[in-house]
Amino acid sequence: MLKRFFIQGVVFATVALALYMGSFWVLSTVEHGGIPLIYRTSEAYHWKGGATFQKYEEFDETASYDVLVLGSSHAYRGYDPRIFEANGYRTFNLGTSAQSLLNSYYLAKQYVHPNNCKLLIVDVFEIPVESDGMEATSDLVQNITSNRAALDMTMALKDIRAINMYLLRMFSKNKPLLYTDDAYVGQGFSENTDSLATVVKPSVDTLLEANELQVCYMEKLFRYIKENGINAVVVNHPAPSTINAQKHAQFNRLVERLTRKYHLPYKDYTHNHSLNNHDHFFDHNHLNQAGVHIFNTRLIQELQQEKLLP
Amino acid sequence: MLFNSFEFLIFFPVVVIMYFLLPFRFRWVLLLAASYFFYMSWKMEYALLLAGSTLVDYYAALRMEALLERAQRKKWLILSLCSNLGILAVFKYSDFFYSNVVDVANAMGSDVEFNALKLLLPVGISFYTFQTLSYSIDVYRGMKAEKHLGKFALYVSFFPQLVAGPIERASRLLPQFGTAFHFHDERVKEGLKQMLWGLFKKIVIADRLAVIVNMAYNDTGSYEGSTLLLATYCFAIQIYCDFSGYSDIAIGAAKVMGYDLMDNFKVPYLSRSIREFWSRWHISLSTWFRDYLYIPLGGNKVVRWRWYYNLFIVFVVSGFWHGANWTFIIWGALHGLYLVGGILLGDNKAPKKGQWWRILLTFHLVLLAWVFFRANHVSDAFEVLQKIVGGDWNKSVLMGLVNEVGASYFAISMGILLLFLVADPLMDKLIKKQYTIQRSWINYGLYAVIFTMIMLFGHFGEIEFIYFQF
Repeated sequence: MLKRFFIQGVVFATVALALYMGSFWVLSTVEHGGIPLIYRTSEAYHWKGGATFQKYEEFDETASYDVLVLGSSHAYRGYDPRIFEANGYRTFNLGTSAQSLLNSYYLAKQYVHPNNCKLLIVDVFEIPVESDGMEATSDLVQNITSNRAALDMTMALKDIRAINMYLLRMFSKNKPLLYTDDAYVGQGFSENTDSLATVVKPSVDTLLEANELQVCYMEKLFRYIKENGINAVVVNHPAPSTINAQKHAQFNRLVERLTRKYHLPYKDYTHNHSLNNHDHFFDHNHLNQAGVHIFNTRLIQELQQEKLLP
Repeated sequence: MLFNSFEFLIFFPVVVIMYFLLPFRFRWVLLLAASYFFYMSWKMEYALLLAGSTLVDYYAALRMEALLERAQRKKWLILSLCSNLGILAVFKYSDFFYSNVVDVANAMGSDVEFNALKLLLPVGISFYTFQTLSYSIDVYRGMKAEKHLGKFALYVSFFPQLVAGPIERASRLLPQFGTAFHFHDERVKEGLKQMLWGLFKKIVIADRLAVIVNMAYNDTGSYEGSTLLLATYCFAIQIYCDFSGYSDIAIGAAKVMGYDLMDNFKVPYLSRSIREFWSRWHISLSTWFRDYLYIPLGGNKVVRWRWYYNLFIVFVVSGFWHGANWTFIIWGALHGLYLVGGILLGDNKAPKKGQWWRILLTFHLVLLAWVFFRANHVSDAFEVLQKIVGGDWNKSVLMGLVNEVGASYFAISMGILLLFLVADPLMDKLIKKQYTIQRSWINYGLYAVIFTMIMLFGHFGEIEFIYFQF
């Protein structure tokens, strides 16, 4: 009876998986209006292309960098490699849209080693710690160069959407890009010169809702950095004055506890800046190019003073 | 741990394999531990309430059985009722009562501020308290009490039906814990098929429709009549698929291990009267109210006005059971009125088959009540009805919602929905073995298609079941 059940289970699993993968292949191959049909079925699928694809294609895994940056949009819009380069530091920004701590951990494991990086800047702030990580995983699984890192993220997230995304990555390997990002200027950086387009409203006083998975991966990331002897600094970049102070204080307690545990320096510029909401930000939490210039110049000076940069 | 989560995908097979490997005498220990583990995955502290309720009812039942005098037995029954309803009153209804007292006081001229207690509502509290209540009442009425504390605790906490039913009677479920079920491949397959169909209903239908419903109902002011009407139709299907999907997974999971849970749904939207609807919708709750409230109130063996009153009050209480909000009370009251109205109009016999207009009428009466069930506030419900009935229809707003949801997402959801509406009555017969497919390759193919649909069109993200909030 058990043997019969087992055989029938294997037959069903084979039929079901074949049908699922076959249907997926058809949907990711047949196009309508130049877009594969699979993208019409769910918002969860990230299109092939954009800044993430461009930067990971450009990133040279064999080269040696003075500074590498990990983090979300704060990172890839807030740390300009050209400013670091003007100060003599070869820099590449590995930050990607909505990158959560889970993603940063697997990116660090794949792309950051003591031999290719003299200083790793890990940008952190509240939103990535609260996120489920799906948005960034979808983007990265589709667009990064490493199959291994993409698979690791997929498995770590434990979400069918990520599994589907990985399948889509496999089926779109040899397909052309669906779009490119005009704001991407190279070395992993996306530039925005606009001043604040909208009025920044004061944040609603909510509490931090940290996602346990992300907190766990923040610790894993810091442990990985420490155990592999990577020189690193954890940074929270400047924010408009309207930011939720209560939530930020909670977040700082969490980051400080973990950075202390792994003896990593934590530099919090959230309120510690002289930038103004209108001239130095282009939305409620991203710096514009004028803000980036002021912030990066100051950061480089401080990192030099603290001997984190030579 | 939700049924539609990765954790459950690991948890369930592990429990089932261990269950069949263990000797019969240890199985209750495994199931009890698994059930508490399952429940504590929401919040550890919740288990204390569950254990407390279990201990009180276990002891009260033993005492009731030991006592011969009805008056003395009644004291223990009252203790059981007070402890279970007390838990509900504190955790579920305290803020509701408090806010209404404050509203009344303010209306009378005082200046009291309402500071909500905001107690966390333990998941499934309404279900397991009703399940243990039925046990206490049955023992009071003469049923034998369960002597084995472990098996009784398992009856209260059995994980497939712990958080959202079906609300099982002790006389049905407890004897099954004393039966040694052996691995039976046909039964396991039946259970797995039912679980898969339940997952399909939840992830592919209910959760996709939830996107449209939530958008409209969480901002009723921004949408006009046609959009709100569409959202209301979608909600009717959403709540059916969400709750019957949960029930299918629960019944299927229990079936895999050999246990037989009661049917909770029988294609309710094909009912030809409200009376029939309530014999097909959330059957375990409606029979609970019938046996423990309606009949003790006198049922229909009383004078006519009292019969109407009994019906009405049972549905008002049923509404209140669902949630501490006037919206649910009005929903229940509407159903009470429908039933009384039906009797007054002579609709007291089972309708003949083929009267499609009756199906449509019944569905739309149910739909009207759903407006109150789904609305966040009573004022929102009236706004929705006013806009639908008042002709405040604007095609561009409807298209705005479609665009916001995503035109292809919307079109696919509607396509799958139409397919589901045709397939559901057939699948219901297939699941309940009222109909069988002889050719095994069609059987494999059918469930492989369901699996593929879940993987390709499921709205993932571990969205809670609607009835978990009750």
